[in-house]
Amino acid sequence: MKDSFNPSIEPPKKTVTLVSSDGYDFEVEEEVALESQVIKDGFEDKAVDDREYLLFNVHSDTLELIIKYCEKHVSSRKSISAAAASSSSSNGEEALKEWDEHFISVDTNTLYDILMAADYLNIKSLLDLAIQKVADTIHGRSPEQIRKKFNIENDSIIDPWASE
Amino acid sequence: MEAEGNSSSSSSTAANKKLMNVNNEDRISGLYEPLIHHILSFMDMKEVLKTYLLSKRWTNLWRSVQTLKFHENSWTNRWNRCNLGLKKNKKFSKQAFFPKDGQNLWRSVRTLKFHEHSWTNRCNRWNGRNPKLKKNRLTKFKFFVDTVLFLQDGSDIDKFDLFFVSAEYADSRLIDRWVTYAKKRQVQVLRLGGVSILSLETLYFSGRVKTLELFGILLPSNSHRDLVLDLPIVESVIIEYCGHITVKRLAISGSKLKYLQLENIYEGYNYNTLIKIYLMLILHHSNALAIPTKTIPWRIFQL
Repeated sequence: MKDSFNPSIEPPKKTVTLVSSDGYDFEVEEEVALESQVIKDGFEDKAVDDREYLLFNVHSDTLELIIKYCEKHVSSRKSISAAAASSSSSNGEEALKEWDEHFISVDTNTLYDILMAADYLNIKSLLDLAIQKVADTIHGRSPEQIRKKFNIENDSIIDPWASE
Repeated sequence: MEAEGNSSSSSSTAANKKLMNVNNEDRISGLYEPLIHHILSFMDMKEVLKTYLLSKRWTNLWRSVQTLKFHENSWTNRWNRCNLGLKKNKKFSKQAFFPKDGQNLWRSVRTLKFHEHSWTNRCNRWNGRNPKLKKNRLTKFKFFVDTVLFLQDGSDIDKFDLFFVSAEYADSRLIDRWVTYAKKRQVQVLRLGGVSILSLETLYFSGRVKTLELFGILLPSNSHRDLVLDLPIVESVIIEYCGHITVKRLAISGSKLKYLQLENIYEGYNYNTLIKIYLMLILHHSNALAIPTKTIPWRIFQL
């Protein structure tokens, strides 16, 4: 009866609350949260009104980026499958790849945050993307250059003449 | 006014300093070992080995990587030269460096070989005149593979990826040894390319090999000119650009095979072979079975 009064109202979208390590709440759609294998695994067992996840290892800045990534991937997957269903040619995948590349072009620090968070949340595509980026950085550089790039301290050679 | 200006500048430098500190942190060494191994799995073993010089933390990390990728390409000048050419097209070079499915890498190398005669690069001419030099480099590559395999810590490996550009008949025993070693260490993905002639034993698969990819290999045969590829637990097979001139009957049987790709461009040479494929479950949709050969007779039987 209620529906007949307001036919334009959509059924409320199911949401999940993600809480970052510094205590911020992020309300995201169920679909988006399910990109993470960790959330997906225990999802069915949780009560519907208790879908809140405390992510102790993920800072709010990183979480924001990751939600952005997941949202983009969910929406573009939908549009790609829609395009495939209507058999119209689209370069959705290419566009997504470009978007990914743009997304991961961040400073090293953020890159590690994303990498660690993707590993923690077990989002495979994002983890691969971040790791590929790091591998790209290492590739073709001399050890000295790699050290400089990643601020790795060279402690392998102990100088006996160094003052204590 | 002045004080304010001072304080603001000092606070900004402090902020900068903090930023610098954050940026100066060595975070890659702090990653978990599996993650570092994952990063290293994208690289050729030559690149991986370089990391042991970085710091104490890295000294032994390479010993336990689960993906062993040996591409002779990374040792030859020809390949270096090709890098320069490919760098113009960034996307392509990326594909060549980190092949998703060695296919792309193989293709680019083939093309280069094809055009080799027209190259006037000094280095190549030098190599052409001096076969000793070329041989020397190949030996270096073999020595490298041998040494790395010897120094590995013996843990299980996931992927063994060996790619020769100019292998010779005499190498087959060496290659057999490496592949046997990989099989002993429970390798799951085995990818061999450009390896001259394999011995029959190399192509005997038990253990945990799940994915087998052969590129540009002259397949061996027994005294009856038969070759039986018995793949009891292999799930995915790709045989591409392979020659089987000496093989009269090629039988591929796999009870767990889910994907089979048999694509040989040298059909003119290979037409003598009769291919029989024995499968437990008939692969219906074209995605799972790719045999575009037209001139070679092939049949599928159900086990």
